[in-house]
Amino acid sequence: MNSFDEKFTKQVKETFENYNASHMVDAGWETFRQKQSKKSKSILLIPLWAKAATITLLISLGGYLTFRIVDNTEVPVLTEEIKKVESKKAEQQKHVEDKGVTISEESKSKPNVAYRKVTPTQVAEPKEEAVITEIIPQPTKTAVDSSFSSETEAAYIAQTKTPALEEATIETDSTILENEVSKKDKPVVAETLNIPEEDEKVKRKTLVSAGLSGMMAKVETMVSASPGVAIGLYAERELTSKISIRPGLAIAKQAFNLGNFSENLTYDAPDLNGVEGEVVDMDNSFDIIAMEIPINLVFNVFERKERSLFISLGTSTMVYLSQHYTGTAYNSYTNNVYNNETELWEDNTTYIQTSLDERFGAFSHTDFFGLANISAGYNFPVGKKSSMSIEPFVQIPVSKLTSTNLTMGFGGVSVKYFLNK
Amino acid sequence: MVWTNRKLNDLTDIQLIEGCLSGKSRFQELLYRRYFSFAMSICVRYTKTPDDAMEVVNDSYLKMFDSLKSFDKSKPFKSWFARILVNTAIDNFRKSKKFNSHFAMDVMPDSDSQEPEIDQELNAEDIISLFSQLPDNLRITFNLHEIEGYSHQEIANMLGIETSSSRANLTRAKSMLRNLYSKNVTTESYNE
Repeated sequence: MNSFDEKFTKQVKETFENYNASHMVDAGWETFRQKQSKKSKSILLIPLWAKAATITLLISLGGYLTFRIVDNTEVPVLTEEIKKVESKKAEQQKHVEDKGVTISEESKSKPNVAYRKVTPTQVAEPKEEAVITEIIPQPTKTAVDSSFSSETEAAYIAQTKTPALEEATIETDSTILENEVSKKDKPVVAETLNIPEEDEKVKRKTLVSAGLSGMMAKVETMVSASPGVAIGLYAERELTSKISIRPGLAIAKQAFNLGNFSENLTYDAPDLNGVEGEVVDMDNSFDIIAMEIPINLVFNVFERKERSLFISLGTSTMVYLSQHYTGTAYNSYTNNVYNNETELWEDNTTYIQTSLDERFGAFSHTDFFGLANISAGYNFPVGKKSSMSIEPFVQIPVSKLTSTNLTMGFGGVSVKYFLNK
Repeated sequence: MVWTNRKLNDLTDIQLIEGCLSGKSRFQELLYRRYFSFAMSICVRYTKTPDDAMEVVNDSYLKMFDSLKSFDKSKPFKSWFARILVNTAIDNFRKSKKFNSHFAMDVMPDSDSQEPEIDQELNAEDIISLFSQLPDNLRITFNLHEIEGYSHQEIANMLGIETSSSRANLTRAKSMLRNLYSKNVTTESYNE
């Protein structure tokens, strides 16, 4: 270092050590107060709109889910089935008329709510009796889905059964017709009453689950000594019978105690009286609270009796809410000192311990799609309307993570509870 | 208990901090006033004008009051606050994106130029005037390395540049300062 640089630096240090800006302090304080009040106003505003947005989002999501469930279970099934039954009825009436059978106006205009103790299979069986006399004026316990309301059931069954009843009553001696009726009636009844055939469509809906994960982290080349934990909410939407998409939102907390493992966390010792320092040892620890936004595709590889095995692939975006890095560095400073006694130049080493503290605030850093998620799991029913899955997982870093650019991966087990099976 | 001004001024930093944490704006004002000159002494070296420096100082105070809860009371407040000031100055520099990698030709260092002699005491205004003529990245690198004692690796991390760029910036800053000193201070002193 030349003399000008040394002298100049020394003068700058001395001058600014005693720098006096008291003549500006009043103006500074006034400006500061204005700035502070502006900031506090904006702070007050943010939670208001954030709350409003959250409530709106929740209501919309709730409304959408409710609509989906109601829409899938009732309306399409009934409308479709009634249409089918009407067309079948018209077909059968036409067929009967073609055979030259006269159906009295009375029978046509008979109240629809008329039943007999005959199952569809009985109708198909050849009978010796020409007329079935027992007509019971109340709904019988046929195989109609019990979830239908009584009114819907009455209207529904009446439309479905009337042609079969009429035909069976009129032409039970005709084997051909019976066979025809048997052939035609069976599918109609099966289609109308055998609701499970339509269940696939109904079940393709959105499931909501809550999850808890325990995990270990691998940071650079070291595995963390303490576990991390994450809790989250997930929505799982079926795309096909085998594939679902599962977005979610989780809060993860990690606390690590690690050695000197990464050049990104290695502290460069500052010079001490012109002597260059060297870091001889270092301990690091950091606490991270992050918001994880995963989006995964779930593939059902095996399904049996409401139990399934699945694998899941996807990616996670990490939004850091808090990052706190602390460390202790042990620096050594060695300089050559002339020893008057021995009249020799000797190495003189001084050790200095330095504490490091680095904090990053909320939303200071985001790693978009920073982790690749791979998991496999087992899903099983818990009670009538819920299920649970146990899912071991690994998260592989796609890019450097956190504000300090660390290569971090995670592995652990996630337990998810599905609220609406 | 009523605090008189004299008593308030006698309060230690920790007492002031505790007062700030309890939400008393009077304590904030006292802490502000106590460290204002210190804060300006740092920020004025990182900015072009004292007004810019005050802007950075106020931003730093906002950050400081916000994160006062996390302050470790066993450590000196001054060095903690100094770090906030430096970081805020760098953030401000990043935001403004004034990475002046080019230099005005008339102040480009001349490798053959004779090294000037510092034969007089420089006052704060002289230094601020010299610094204000440096491009932002050179001024910041010079201050971080020479005054604050950061290593080139740390500066590189802070500014998001290569370590070699930090070294080069420092060399250029020193050359430019020599040149500027020769042109401005020495000439002025001769004129006087």
